[in-house]
Amino acid sequence: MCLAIPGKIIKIEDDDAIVDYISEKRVGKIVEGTYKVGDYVIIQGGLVIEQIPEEQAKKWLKALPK
Amino acid sequence: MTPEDLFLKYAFPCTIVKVARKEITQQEYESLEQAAKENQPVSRERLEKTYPAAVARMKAVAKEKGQVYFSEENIRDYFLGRHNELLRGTFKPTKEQGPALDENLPQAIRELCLITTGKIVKKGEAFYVVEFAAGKETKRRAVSNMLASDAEIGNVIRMHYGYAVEKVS
Repeated sequence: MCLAIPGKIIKIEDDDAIVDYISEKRVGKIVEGTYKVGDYVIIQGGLVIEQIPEEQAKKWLKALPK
Repeated sequence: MTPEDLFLKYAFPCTIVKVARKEITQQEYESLEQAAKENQPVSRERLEKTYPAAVARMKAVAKEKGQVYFSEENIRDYFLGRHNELLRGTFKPTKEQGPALDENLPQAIRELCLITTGKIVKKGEAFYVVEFAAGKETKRRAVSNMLASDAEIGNVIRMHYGYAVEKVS
């Protein structure tokens, strides 16, 4: 089953979202939708593709195997 | 396109998860990414070894439908059917068919994992924006065009976890 990991947007520069993951930072382009700093998002293929509600994201991050 | 190419396009979007779970190395991931992107041949044996749970579920579908397991028809039947049922929680896998749905998995991620069909409404250098039906709503999502770069605005495509995987019409 999917072990997809959401990360938190810590900065937005133009259309690039800088996203904080557990152990690294990744950049995803925002090409559709509206996102803001603090949002939990999924990045795939270099794009910000979806927002995950904070409560669900936190619960999932806690449940992930370390 | 061979059945192996088609399988890899549908399966590749989930492959990053295998790296996170340490089932495959980053190097192996990059090699599969390159193959999926460039349509380089990958052997059936390698795919079976890399995606054992999907293969076990695909074999079960083939048996039920009386069709060839590694065929384009069965690959699409599996990904659009059983694969999505698993994510909706309406199918309970056997032990060799991999783990059942994790109840903590956020709904929004579960929806990303579904194979969905939508129409391209916007196109960028490396992406499409796709409009699709989600229940009663119409939603838009950005997807990478890495695995299917031959589509245009107005085309209908299948998508899987942030990637366009196949042009339908």
